[in-house]
Amino acid sequence: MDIKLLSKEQDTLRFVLSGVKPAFANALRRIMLSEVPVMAIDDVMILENNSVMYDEILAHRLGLIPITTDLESYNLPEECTCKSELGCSKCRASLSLEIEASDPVEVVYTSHLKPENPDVRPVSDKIPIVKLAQGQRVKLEAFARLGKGRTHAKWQPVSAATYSYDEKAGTFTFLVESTGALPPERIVLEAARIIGAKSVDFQEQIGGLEKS
Amino acid sequence: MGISVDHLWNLSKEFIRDSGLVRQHIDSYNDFVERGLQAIVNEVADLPIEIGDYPLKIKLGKIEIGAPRVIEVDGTERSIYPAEARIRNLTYSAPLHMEMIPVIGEREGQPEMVYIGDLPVMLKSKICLLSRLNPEELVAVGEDQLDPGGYFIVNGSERVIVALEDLSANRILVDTEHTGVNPTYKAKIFSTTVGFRARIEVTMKGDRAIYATMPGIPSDIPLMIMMRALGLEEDSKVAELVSVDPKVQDELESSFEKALEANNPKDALLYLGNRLAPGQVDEYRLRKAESVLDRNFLPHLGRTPADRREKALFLAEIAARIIEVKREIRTVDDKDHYANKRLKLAGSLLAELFRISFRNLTRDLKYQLERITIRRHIEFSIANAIRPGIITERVQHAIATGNWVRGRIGVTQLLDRTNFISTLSHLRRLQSPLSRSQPNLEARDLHPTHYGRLCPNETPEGSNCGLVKNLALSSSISVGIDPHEMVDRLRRMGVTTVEEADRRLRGAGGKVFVDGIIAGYTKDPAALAEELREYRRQGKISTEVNVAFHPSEKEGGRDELYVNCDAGRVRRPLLIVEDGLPRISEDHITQLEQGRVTWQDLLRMQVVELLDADEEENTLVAMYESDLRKDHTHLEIAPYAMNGIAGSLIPFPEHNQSPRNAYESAMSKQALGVFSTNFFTRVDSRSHLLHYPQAPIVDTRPMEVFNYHQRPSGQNVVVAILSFQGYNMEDAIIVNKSSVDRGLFRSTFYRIYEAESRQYLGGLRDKFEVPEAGIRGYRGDRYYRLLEEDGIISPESDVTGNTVLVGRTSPPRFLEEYREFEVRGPTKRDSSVTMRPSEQGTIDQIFITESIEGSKLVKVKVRDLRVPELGDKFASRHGQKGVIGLLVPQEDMPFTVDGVVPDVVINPHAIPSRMTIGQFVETLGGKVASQVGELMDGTSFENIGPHAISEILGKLGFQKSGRETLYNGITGEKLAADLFIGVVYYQKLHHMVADKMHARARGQVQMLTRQPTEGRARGGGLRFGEMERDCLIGHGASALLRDRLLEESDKYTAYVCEICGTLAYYDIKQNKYICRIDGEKATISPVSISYAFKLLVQELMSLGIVPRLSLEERA
Ligand SMILES: [Zn+2]
Repeated sequence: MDIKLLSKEQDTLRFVLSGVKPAFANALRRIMLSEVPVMAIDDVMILENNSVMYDEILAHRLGLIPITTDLESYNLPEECTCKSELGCSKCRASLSLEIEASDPVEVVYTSHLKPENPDVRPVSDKIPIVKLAQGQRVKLEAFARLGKGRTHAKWQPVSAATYSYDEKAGTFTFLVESTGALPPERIVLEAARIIGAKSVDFQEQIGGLEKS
Repeated sequence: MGISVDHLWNLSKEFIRDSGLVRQHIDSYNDFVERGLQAIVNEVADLPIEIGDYPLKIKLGKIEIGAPRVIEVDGTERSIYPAEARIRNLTYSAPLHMEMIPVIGEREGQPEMVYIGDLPVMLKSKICLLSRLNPEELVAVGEDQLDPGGYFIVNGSERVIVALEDLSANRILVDTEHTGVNPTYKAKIFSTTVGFRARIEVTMKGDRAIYATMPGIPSDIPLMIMMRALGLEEDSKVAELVSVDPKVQDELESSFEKALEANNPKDALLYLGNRLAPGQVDEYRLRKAESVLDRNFLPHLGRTPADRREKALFLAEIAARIIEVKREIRTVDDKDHYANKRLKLAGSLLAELFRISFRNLTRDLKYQLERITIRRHIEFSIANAIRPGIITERVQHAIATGNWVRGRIGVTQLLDRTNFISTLSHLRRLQSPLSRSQPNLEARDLHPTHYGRLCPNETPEGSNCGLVKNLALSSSISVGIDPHEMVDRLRRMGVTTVEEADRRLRGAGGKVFVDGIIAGYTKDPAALAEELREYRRQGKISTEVNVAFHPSEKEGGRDELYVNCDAGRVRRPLLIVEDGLPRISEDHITQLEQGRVTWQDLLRMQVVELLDADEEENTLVAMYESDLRKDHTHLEIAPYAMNGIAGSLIPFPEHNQSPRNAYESAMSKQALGVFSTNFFTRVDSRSHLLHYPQAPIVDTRPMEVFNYHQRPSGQNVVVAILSFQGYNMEDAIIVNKSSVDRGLFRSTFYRIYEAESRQYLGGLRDKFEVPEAGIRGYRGDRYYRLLEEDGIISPESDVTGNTVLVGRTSPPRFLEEYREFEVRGPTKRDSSVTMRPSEQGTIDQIFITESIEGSKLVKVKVRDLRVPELGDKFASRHGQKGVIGLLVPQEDMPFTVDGVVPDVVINPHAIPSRMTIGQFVETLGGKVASQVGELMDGTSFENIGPHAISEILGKLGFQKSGRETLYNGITGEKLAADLFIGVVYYQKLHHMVADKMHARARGQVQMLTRQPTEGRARGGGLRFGEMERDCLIGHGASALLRDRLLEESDKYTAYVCEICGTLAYYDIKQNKYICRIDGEKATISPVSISYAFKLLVQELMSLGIVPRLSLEERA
């Protein structure tokens, strides 16, 4: 196996992977899409919303906002030691929003979301959430949690994870484009780690079978 | 240098803007309000009141219509806007006032302005308040600024008067029938005058004699008897009137023979009288005959004895045409030619309705006045004697139900608000009165004269195919002018009346008709036609007038000239061409674009004109400027404007097999989108809203005029064509689950539940409250859980089936209930409004208001989020529909090297047999558009075409074919073949699984038959039908058969007397079964039968038939 870095920008990574079968390259791609955990808003407590946008749509939109992820400080809710449904400070981070429009039309952007932990905040400040007419109010508390793309697309760390395969040379030219939640190289690394962990797990299970 | 496509489009856009998308309704209604109402009043003019003592009559004067308003229950009068009418279930109507002048003897009394009733107001008509508002003001009064108007609001619901397509009135249509040995020749005329329509038929039968029929006389009348009854005595004169051609005159011989018994007018009238009032005295029969002749025969020529001469001339013309057809010097008329069709719009239909109710009102007024004045001899007041309800209720009821005069039903329909397109299309729809159960094959066909007038694509499938049509974008409906002015003008232009015309002129000249009136003869009809057209272009006569010259079709025939100025002709605009060059120049259009001239100015500048189907027969129209030759008279403006609203949504339709465009035209009306921007305050009983609607990136020019980009009904999705795991076979589609997660095709479904607190006789009324436990019909605590103190559910609560939305208690239904509970006084019963059993949602909004009767009215809006799921229906714009067969996670979907993953995967088998190549072109166009960042124009006939799109795609670095290498998302291998992939506009249709899925283990049964109920709403069973039954019989599966049809259905134990075989009954006192026939000696046995069979036995008994069951011991 050989990896050659082609380019790296803020959110994009290109590299060539060679010496592997398509199954392996694809496993890496699939895991980037569906198993590398990132933060996304999962639970929204709407205290007040007299905008024209329904609560369910507002919550859905909040969920799709990419959130910067701190994988070291947070646990997946199902793996957290707190075992509580609500979660604890180790498995959730809150962001709050309180705004009343004073202009005839005011757009609420991600910049209006106030993160509890500055490391867990919207990737961009310029994502529009909802438009308010004068006097309309939105007040809510949103809880971001780690999750996996397999459960919902909002937990996908990548906006693109793909490769082209040169059969003759046996090389895979990867393109990984992060949503901004994690640096792209981290996503690849995490994916590799997950494959590793899976293999170890598999080995152990097989070993267990041999013994019995 | 030619005129560019863009310029022509701007021209055609200006035409559509000038005429408006629903202008036909609004113009027609305005005309009715401005002229029609007064005309109907003038028909009555005087109302004689017969009270013996002194001669009294009431002169009817000016009728006036006010502004839309409502009278509240306390009598206060307030002006209202449509939004309030919708919410409060009111009627958007305006008061009618009429001037009434009592005339005693010769002395006119003081004129009185009397309120005579309400007339519903058409939205955006001249009297509608909205017609004076600008877009911002429209929004302020709660309207969608783009709402077209053209409909009514009656009792809160929006009703459209669908245009009616009818054969034109007062025209002679000759046809042949080949049933007997000799063919028969039949001429039909729908002679129509205000408020009366007589169907006159004149037939040459197998015996070669001509007969006429008319309303009021049951039998056929020989032609010559009619002629004599109309005052013509001499045979030679009649023959001369029919034709100057001796050969034609000879054909009259048989007809003369039939009239030997009556050779003078008096005898002829008596002949008619005998058919009308046999056995009466001569005097009476004469009077009767004259009256029927004047009133029922060709009434459009007048209804007085003075008009008989005119009628004779007309009858002679009919006879001449029949003979000419028979002699084969004239061809039969084409009933389906659009020159012979007229559209009846809101105005003329309302006029019919108003005339009847106005007559009822005057009759009632006369009766009331006669009654009051005779009895009490007091000073009378007209205002007190008039009952405005007669007009108000009659008109409102007709619009609310669609039940019109003369038993015509379905005239109005509930306005389709599925999406913006369906609304517009509904307002431009027209219906044929022909029966849909009969084949009427020719009438359903597309006729060449439909071109540019009716959409060739948009018609329903099945029974209404070709009978329900839609206006093309380029159509305009004539409003009409007075034909008599035209007749006078023609006379001044040298048209000689029939009476004055000499033999030479009648032989060699042409006959001139104005709206079915014979105006006379002219020497050179072709030249007169040209002259009239020139006059019209110069503005000397109305632009409403169309002129058609019908030259003799065959050797020995006659030239005719038709001048049409009636209402309801479908016309279309064309550019005028002179010497092979269009009169219009780029300069004209530039001025138009800059707003310095209007469409109307262009008409006056003599560069464009509107032609009806009749006049179009005299033209030679070039499709494109490059086709122009010296002999062309006109040039098309925009070929794609021949489509209607729905047809114009389809990109590249010229690449599709025609039926696919028809399917799409029907389907686009089921797509979810933004039906109106005031959906927040609307109270439609059900509606849908698409969350993230997108304008199509492959669009068409006409979309601009009906604002499709502002009110779209679909989304642009990446579509790949691949048979992916077989989950898209049989037209299913595979959808990317991650796309759905991201909000693709999410929509909200709304339903409104209504509750009113009614007042009953005796002062009792319904009450909104949380019903107390234990009252009649109480549903159980948990159903009332979400109600607030006022009995109304709180907003934003989640509700499921049967949850009470508005708690309401009503007084007992029957008086007997009082007696039963007399001690406690009247008890209440629960009449709460609940959720439908199979639905769920969130309480969205609650409207609390007051109805017109002053009772409290509550409307609860429930919304339900609809995320696409397995079984939901979608369609592209090419008649390619399918349901979701599988939602696939993104990682399993195929992907391109750029990381593009399709949103939708359709099956390749959907293409070859349907030949929807337009979808391929759209796919390519969409791909280019999404790369370039500009919209792709897919207007029919005027687009850049697939090859040019391909070339651009090539330049963008894609394969020109639109195919790309994709990788299998599951295995990671390259797919063996490149896939065709691109961007297509898809629509979510309103057929969703959530509204349809249904299963039942056990449940309700019908009261009468005790069989399971039917339908999802009633928790019904799934029918085990005849074919299913046959199947089990075929398999000999008798136990299953018995289980399905008896045990699990309406099993019943009947007690039958073994001796007589009739049903026994149970006597509770004796505690045993008794047979009424055999009494004590009866042996009674229980028998398991179907309850429906028991019912049949008893029904037969009620008919006096004794069905006897012969019982046998089970083997
Ligand atoms: Zn925790």
